[in-house]
Amino acid sequence: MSGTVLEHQSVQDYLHDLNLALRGMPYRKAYALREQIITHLDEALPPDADDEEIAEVLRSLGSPADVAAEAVAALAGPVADVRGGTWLW
Amino acid sequence: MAGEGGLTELRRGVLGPCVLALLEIRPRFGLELVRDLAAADGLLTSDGTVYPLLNRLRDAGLVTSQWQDNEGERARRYYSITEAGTQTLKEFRADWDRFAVTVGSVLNHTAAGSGPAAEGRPQ
Repeated sequence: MSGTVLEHQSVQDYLHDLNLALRGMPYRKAYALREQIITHLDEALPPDADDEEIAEVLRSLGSPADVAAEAVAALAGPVADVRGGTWLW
Repeated sequence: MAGEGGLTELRRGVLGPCVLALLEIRPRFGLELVRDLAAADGLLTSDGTVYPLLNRLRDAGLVTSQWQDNEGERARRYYSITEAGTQTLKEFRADWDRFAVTVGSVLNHTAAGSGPAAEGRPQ
């Protein structure tokens, strides 16, 4: 198989599912997150990674739904603590 | 050990400050930060959720990022703590210390108002 590990089918499937889960998010934020995930995969996987290594890294990443859910939750604004103050994350 | 649901909420509350605390030591790139968090047992369930958190911290002005092209290495986006991030972390540390003491005393029945049956209970 030629090309980078990012072209591996399971990676492509993951990124496709991530795109779907990020639908409705502002484009720039979705794009930035997608780029971060791609960079993460590119860094975490050696060029000759096998199916098992790829599956393990994708598993550690968490499901596209979970990752997207965190991004969507962040859009809701700062988290308020019970005293009425505001945590900025 | 606490159920997974309870831990999830606890993690959500502390992960931001933990990221800030790591960046306080030195700037890091994404995968590096993920690995350092994952090394702290039980803190991270899903590597990918670190990135939305980093973005949230950046939007809040607590973290900044820039590309760095270190010799002999690939260009990477490094995340750094800001002055506001340092201040927020300092406040959180104080809050956390007080909170941990309070919660601990309630959990261990040593808080005032725990009731007569709690007095003298060995810990």
